[in-house]
Amino acid sequence: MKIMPIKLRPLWLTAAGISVAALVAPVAAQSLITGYWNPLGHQDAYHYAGGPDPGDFSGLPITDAARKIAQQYDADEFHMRELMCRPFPATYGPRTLSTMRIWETLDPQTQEQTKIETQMGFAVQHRVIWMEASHHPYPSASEPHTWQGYSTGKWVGNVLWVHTDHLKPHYLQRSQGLPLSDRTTMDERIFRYGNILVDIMMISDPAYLSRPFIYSKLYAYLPQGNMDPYPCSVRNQVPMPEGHVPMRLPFYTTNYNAAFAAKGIPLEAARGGEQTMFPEYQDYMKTLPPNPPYSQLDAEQQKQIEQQSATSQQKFP
Amino acid sequence: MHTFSSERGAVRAVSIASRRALWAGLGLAAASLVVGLAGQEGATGRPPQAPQPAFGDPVNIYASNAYAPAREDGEIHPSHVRGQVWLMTGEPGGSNVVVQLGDQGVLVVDTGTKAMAPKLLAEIQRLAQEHGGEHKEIRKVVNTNGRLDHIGGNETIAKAGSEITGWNDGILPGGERAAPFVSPGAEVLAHENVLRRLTAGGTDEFRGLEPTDAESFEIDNQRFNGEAVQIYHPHNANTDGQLVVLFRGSDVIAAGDVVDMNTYPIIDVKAGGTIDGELVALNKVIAMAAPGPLAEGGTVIIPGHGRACDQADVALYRNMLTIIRNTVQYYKNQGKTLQQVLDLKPSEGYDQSWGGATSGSWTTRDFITAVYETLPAKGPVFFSMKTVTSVPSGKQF
Repeated sequence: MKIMPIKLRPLWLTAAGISVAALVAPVAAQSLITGYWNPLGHQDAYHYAGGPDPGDFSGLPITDAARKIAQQYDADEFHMRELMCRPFPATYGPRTLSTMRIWETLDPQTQEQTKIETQMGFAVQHRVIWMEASHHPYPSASEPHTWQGYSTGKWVGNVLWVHTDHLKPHYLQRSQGLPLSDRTTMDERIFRYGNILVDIMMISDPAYLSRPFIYSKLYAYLPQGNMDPYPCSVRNQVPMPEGHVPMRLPFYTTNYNAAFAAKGIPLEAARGGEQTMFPEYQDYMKTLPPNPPYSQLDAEQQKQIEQQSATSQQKFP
Repeated sequence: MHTFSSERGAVRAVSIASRRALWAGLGLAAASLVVGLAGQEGATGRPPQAPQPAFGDPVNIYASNAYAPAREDGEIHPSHVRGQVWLMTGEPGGSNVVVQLGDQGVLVVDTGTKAMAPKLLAEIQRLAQEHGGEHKEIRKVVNTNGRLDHIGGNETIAKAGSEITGWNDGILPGGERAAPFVSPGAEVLAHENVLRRLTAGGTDEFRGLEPTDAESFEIDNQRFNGEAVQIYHPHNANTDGQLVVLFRGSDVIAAGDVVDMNTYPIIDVKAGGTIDGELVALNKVIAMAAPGPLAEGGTVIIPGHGRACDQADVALYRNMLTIIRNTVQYYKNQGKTLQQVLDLKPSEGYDQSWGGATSGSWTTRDFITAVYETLPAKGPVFFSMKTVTSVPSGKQF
C-alpha cells in the first residue's frame, strides 16, 4: 500500500473528523424515506384483515356517541352511489395492506424539501405533506375538507413529524361503522430503521374518541415497487330506492351477541372504551361473566333476541 | 504494508505512528470544536430552539402556520370558488353569501344580516371593480329563503344596484346608441311564499326586505353573465320558500339552508318546513352535483352556513338526517309521545358534531321536535324518494 503524501494527511484527517462531527451533531438530519414500501401485515390482523365482528369495539377508546352510531351502521352504506368510490382516509389507509409510495419535491435553488407526497395502492390515496420551506398557506375555514386532509410536516432529528387536519367525516374502523368527525386530527412520527419504515399514528377526535387512538405500522423497503392505476366507476351493486339510506333500527335492550358468545368475549368488554385499551383490562375481563351460548338461553330470552334481531335487520319494503 | 529493518525500522514506525496520532488528535479536536460550536449556537446569537413536545404528544405543532383569518371576525372575506362565483364569509352568526360576476353585472345570492350589510356591500363593490366584467352594478339578488340572516341586507344591497328594465333601440344624433332604460334598485327574486310570510303579519318589521320579484315555480332556468343559472324550489324543506341556485357554467351550487355544515338543518315548521321535504331537497342537491373522481371534488356546494363541500359531504349529511328521521318514525309508529322520543335521544350519536346545543335559537330539542311533528303518526319507517310523507304545519298557501 502506498503511503499518502504527508502534506495531505492533515487535510484528510481533519475532513474525516468533521465528517464524524457532522454525524454526531443533529443539524438538518433527515432520513431518506422515498421509494416504495410494502406493508407488513402481521400487526393487528384481527382488526384489519377480515375485521372484527360487528359490535366488538374492545380495545378502542370510543365514546358513547361513536358506539351509538356504530350500532345503527349497515355496511351496505358502501354501496351507495355517492360513496362507493370513496378512498380510505388518511387516518385509515396507512393501517391497511396497501403498498405505499413516497416521493419528495425539493426547491431547485435551496435544495430544501418543500413537500413529501405519499400514495397508497388502493384508491389512489394521494397525500401531500407540506414542509416548512414550502410556506404553503393553511386552508381557510370555508374550504372543503378532503379524504386525505391537509398535512404539514417537519423533521425533528431523523423523525418526520406530520400533522393532519381538514379531513372529511370518515371512520375509525370501516367494517364496524365506528365514526370519526371532520374535527379529527392526526399526528404522525415516521422514521426508518434500515429497510424498515415505521409510521406511528396518533388520532384524536373530540366527538368520537375519549383518548387518542395510537397505532403503529411497519413497512419493508420494496426496491422494485410499482403502483397500478385505480379507475373507479359508479355502478349499482345493491339495488335500493333513490334516497334510501342503509341502517339498522335501534335494538339495544339486550345487547346479546351470539358471535361474542362463541368467542367468549364478555359483552362489557365488547362495548369498548378507553379502559379496554390497557393490558390490565385483560385481568379484569377474566372476572366478567361470559355470554351464555344461545342454546343455553331460556325461551323468552331467545324470543326477545329474535324479535330485536328482526327489527334491526328490517329493510326498505 | 510497510516493512522496515529492525532498529531503524522500529524508530521510523514509532515516528510515523506519533505523527499519525498527532494529526488524528488535531482532527478530533477540530471535530470537537465543530460539535461544541453547534451546541452553543443558541448561546451565541441564534435564539434557542423552543423545547420540543415529548415524542408521544399528539399536539398541533403547526398552529402558527394557520394564516387563514378567523372565520367570524366581524369582517367579510371574499374567496374565489370557481369560474365566475365567489363566496363571502366572516359574518358572525350570519349566512354564506354567494356572488356571481360577469359582463351583465353582479348577481348576489342572499344578503346576510342587516347589521353587516354595509360591509358586505363594500366588499361586493370592491370585488366587482377588481374582478367584474363590463358592467359592475348589482343587477340581481336571489333569496334562498325568508329568514332574517339571509334577507337582512336586501334593502342595502338592492338600493346600491340597478335593474335594466328595457333596451332603447333609438340611435342618438351622431350615431351613438341610446342608453337602456334603467330603474334604480336591483331586482330581488324569491319564492312567492317568502313574500307572503313577510307580509302576513301586517307589520312594518320587514319593510324594505321584501323581494321585488316573488314567483311560484319548481324550476326557473335563466341565463345571466353568460352562464345558465338554474333555480330550483324544493317544497316544504327548511321552509316553504326555499330556493337552491345552480351556476351551471361555474359548476357551483348555492344550496342555502338545505345544507348546513354547522348544525342540523333549521326546519322552520311555522314557515312550512318538514323533515321529508328537507330530505327531498338534499337528494335533489346530490342529484344536481357531479362528483369528481374518487368521491371528492367536482361540483362545489356552498351551504347556507359553514364550509364549502362536495357531493360526498352532502351525501353523508343526508345519511345522518335520514337515519335520525327513520329512527323517530320507528318510535312514532310505536305510539311514543314527543317527550318519550326525546328521552330516547334518537340523535345522540350526532349531537356533539351537529347539534348538542341546549339553548339558543336552534337546539337539538328543536330539531327532534320538528322531525317528530312533521312525520305522520303511522308512516313508512324507511325514507326514500318514493315514500315521502311531508306533514307541513303552520299556515299553508
